[in-house]
Amino acid sequence: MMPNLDLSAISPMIFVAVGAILLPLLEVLLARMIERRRSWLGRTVNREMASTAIVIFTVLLLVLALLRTVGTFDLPVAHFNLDHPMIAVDQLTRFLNAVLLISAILTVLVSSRYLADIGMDHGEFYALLLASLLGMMLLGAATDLIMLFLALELMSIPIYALAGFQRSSLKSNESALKYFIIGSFASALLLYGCALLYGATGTVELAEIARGFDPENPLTLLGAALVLVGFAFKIASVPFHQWAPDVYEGAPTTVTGFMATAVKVAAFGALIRVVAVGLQPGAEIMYGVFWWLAVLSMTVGNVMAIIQQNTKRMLAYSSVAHGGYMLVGICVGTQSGYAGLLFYLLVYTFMTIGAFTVLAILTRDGREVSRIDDLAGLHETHPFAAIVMTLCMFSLAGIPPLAGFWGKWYLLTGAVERATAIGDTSLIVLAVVLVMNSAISLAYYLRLPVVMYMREARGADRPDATAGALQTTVLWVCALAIVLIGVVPGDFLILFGDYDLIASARVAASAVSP
Amino acid sequence: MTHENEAIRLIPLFPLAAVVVSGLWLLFARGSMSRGAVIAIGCGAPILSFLVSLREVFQLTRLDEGQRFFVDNLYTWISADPFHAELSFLLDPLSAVMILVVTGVGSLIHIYSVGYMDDDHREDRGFQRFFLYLNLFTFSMLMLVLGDNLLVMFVGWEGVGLCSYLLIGFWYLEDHNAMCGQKAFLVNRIGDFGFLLGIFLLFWAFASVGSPTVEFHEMSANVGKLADTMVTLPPALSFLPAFPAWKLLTLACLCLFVGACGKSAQLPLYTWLPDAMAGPTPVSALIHAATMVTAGVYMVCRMSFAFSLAPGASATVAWVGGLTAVFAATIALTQKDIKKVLAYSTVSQLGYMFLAAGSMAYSAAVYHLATHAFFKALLFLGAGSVILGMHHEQDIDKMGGLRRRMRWTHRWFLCGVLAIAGVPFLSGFFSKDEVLLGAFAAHDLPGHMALYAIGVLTAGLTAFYMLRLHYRVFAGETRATPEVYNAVHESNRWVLMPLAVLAALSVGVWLLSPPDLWGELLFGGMRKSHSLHYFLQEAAFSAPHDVSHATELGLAALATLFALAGIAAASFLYYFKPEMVDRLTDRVRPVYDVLWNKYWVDEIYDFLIVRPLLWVSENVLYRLVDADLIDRIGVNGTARAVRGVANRGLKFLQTGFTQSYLVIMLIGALGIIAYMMRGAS
Repeated sequence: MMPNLDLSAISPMIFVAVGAILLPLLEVLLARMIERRRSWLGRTVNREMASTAIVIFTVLLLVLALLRTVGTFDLPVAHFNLDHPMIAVDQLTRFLNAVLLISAILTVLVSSRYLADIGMDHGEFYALLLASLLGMMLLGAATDLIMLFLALELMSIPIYALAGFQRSSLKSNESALKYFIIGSFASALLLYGCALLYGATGTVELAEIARGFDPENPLTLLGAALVLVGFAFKIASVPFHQWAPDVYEGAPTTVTGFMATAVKVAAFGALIRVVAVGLQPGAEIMYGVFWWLAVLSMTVGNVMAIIQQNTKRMLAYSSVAHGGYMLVGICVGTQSGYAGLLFYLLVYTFMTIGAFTVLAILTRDGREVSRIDDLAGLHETHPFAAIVMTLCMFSLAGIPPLAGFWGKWYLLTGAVERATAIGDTSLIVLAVVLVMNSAISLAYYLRLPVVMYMREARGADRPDATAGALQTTVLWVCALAIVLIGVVPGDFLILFGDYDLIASARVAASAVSP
Repeated sequence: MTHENEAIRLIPLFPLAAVVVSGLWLLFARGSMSRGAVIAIGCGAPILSFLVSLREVFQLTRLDEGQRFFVDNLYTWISADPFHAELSFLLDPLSAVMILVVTGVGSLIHIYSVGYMDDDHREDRGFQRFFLYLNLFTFSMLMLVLGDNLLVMFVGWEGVGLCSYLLIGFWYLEDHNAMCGQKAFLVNRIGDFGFLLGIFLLFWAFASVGSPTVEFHEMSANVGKLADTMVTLPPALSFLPAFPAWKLLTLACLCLFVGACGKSAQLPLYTWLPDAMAGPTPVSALIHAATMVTAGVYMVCRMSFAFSLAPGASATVAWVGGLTAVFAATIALTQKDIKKVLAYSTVSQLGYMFLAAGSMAYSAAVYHLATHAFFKALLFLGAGSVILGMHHEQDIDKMGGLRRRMRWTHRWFLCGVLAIAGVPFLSGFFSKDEVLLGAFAAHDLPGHMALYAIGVLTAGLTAFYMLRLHYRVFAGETRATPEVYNAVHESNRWVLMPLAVLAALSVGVWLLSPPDLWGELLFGGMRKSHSLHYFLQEAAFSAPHDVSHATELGLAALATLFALAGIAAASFLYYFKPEMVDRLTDRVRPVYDVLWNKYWVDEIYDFLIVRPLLWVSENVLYRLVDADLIDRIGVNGTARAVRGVANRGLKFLQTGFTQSYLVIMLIGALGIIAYMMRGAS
């Protein structure tokens, strides 16, 4: 096969890569200017100006990449080949990239102020973030095992560093180290799985693997199983989830928000491609695995979230549970199942980032508002943050008509449709488990609004919240997205251009589904 | 010929815009708008709507006969194939009459409110809030009458109910007012439930014959397919004893009529309307006399294509209307609160309208609706002027002799009294005759002659209690204390101007479209097409009657006789020989007590429905079901169980040690591998 190097197809990734490379240089340059008291536009360069410049540069790049991605959504598939297809820029890739870029933009906007608050305002943060983002974007696009693994590592390693970015904090260090050790373990298993698959089928290309997939061959099955384990770790699915609460708690809050959303988006995107393309012949064997992972993740995640006292740990378990909901889409394994999952990823991104943004805003002088009870009386000190937090919680719990409800709705209808089509009761059971878990989750999601609105703030521990303009913007974006995606019917969205989100998710899913 | 007309949307848009502006202000700004701004926005909106309405109705009359309707389609509201509901408006002769009444009378009452609510300092932003609610009401009412399908109509229907609730309890600092608002809301819920069932039933029925729609034109075109459909029970309910052989349309229409009974205060759901008088008087005039309460009549006329195919339902409508008319009129004979008398009178007159609608004389119902809107609004506003002058005294036993202190109010009020009493050649005379003629001529209606008799009797009673009211308030020597009497003053211009306009309309509005008979007698060459009856035929087809002109004149004479008898009796008792009243009352003490206590209907409802409900609610639903079963066992029990599992079972696995995490991961991985490889060869 001829090499095909269509650079325009991967231009969003190039933007991000350029940013990841240039940012450290820019940081050094700015540090030099500060050191030598250089002035620019008539003002002496100081740290604040420098970080503003870096944020503007980063956001600009990311927005360009986002516009490019959304603008090219309807173009045909572009392959990026050497001797065989390694990257496919199809609708699935573009949908995932859009969500990833949204997550990254929101994270960057929240971070500048947050980093200053914890005394860690260094430009490397953004470089690491972009490097990781590049890995994520490639992960969803990878069509061969080597690219898959490379992208996975490119995504993971900067995230390890980001988790430990708050060098002065013991918890942050612990978080990074734990994540790194367990992550390496999982990467090893995944890599071993890839090797076995290559050994069994003689190829690293996903489409070819599907052709050579022999459901009776123990080598193939072992390889597939190990690949699944690797992904199950990345999406923090029970029983590969135990790192999540510890890491989420220790990592800087904005990094946690990024991890909770972008890593999940990328991992699920890659999982869809691997399951729907490469391991498609083994779908029936894997169905049981996903079924159990989904049920366990939903149930354990929700039950454990109930007893948490720490907000970030609570959100970590909630994220485990949401991973379980999304696995229902994988279990369904049809276009509508995958579309439901992709739509869910999008709304999940807004509501999770919204929640973590509120937590980030409340951080002052490196002191986090860690316990749920510390949020008492938030509606008096920062009513808007309390409203957004409440919206996020309601949406996460799936209360209609917010976005989270529709996410669950499409997953459920996908499952029920499929179940009636093939007469499979186990999918119905899965749907029932999902609904029951939504009910359980109310127990802890509603606790936050109760604490924020119905309890008096206690003297010294009053949550002090003054959001920066950028952070307020993020709150607005998340709140509006949650409400508009939920409330505004399809017909109305046309007013804002032809963005019927669930229809886009269906198109994206059709890129890989059989 | 196109029937698209995008100007229709302007009519409800003006009040809506006023609501939005004023509402945003109240939400986000401190304090109130300036008085001038409130008046400009609050009164400007209905007046603009009225002007647009006039223009569009004029355009409508210029269309060809049989083709008179405008449609304004905003957007598709619900699109769930094969069912579609558009948010669109329909202006046809029926809705034309309604919007003119709503915006015309509405504008006058808005203007009146400026004067009436002027002294409202009970709450700092009350003035603006009041106009906000009035505008919201106008908007909802216009949605109700302009909606071109049952769903839009229902939105308006609920909207006016909400506004009614808000405005009855407008002075909410007094518990009594808030309770009255609640009562109105709750009683209306019963009716609305019936209305909704009717909508569902109709939709289901139309879907079963292949045209799933709730749009009036389409329903009307397809209703023939349903003419012979009978009610069949679903198989799941086959164990029930045989259901009487009802036509489906009859059942659906009865459901709709339950809704109409609630909204238009008919037996047995009328009890909320007298209590609704707790609201400010302009509200009573606008909502509880002229417009909202006539929504039920409008709905029956709007659905006339279905009702005319369901004789059973129509007969029910007529009988409920007739009985309500005489029932409420008897109660009005004895009431002492000036607004309560008018409220029972309203219930009674609404009964008249239903009597006409049930006799399939829809044009008579609408005619009476329109004239009633004018003279009853006039009466309420006049009563409001009296209440203002008397400093919020409403007991007619403490009035009398006000004629000398409130000259203009007295004159205008008298116009309304004579109009409703049916004095010849005032508007009430003509519309009442049309109603009675409808009942007289409805040969297919079981007991139509009895209903006619009831109607004539009610006409006499009406004349009697209205004149009684007038004499008690304005005539004779005052029964008020000298201090109060001397403080009575005539109302200001904002109040008197609308009274004058409404008085003129009450006397002469019939000139715009006299009934056929009178048009020919009085104006000879006048073309038939000028009568409202003729105009409305294409929107709500009234059955033609075969009554000769001579008979018609005879009927009119008979009704006039009864009305004059009522007037004479009232004049004798309350003007010439007031001292006889007490003796007469003592003579008929048992009857008087029954009427004075309003047949104890409220007490009976309280005993039969409210108390048992409260008891079940408190003892069974709250104590047993909610507190014990749901809270203690269900919610808290589950929560305790989940917490227990999490704390004792799962928490110990989360040690915080990386090694143990890895072990668990390994076990999980082995589990997955074992599971996947069980099928390997």
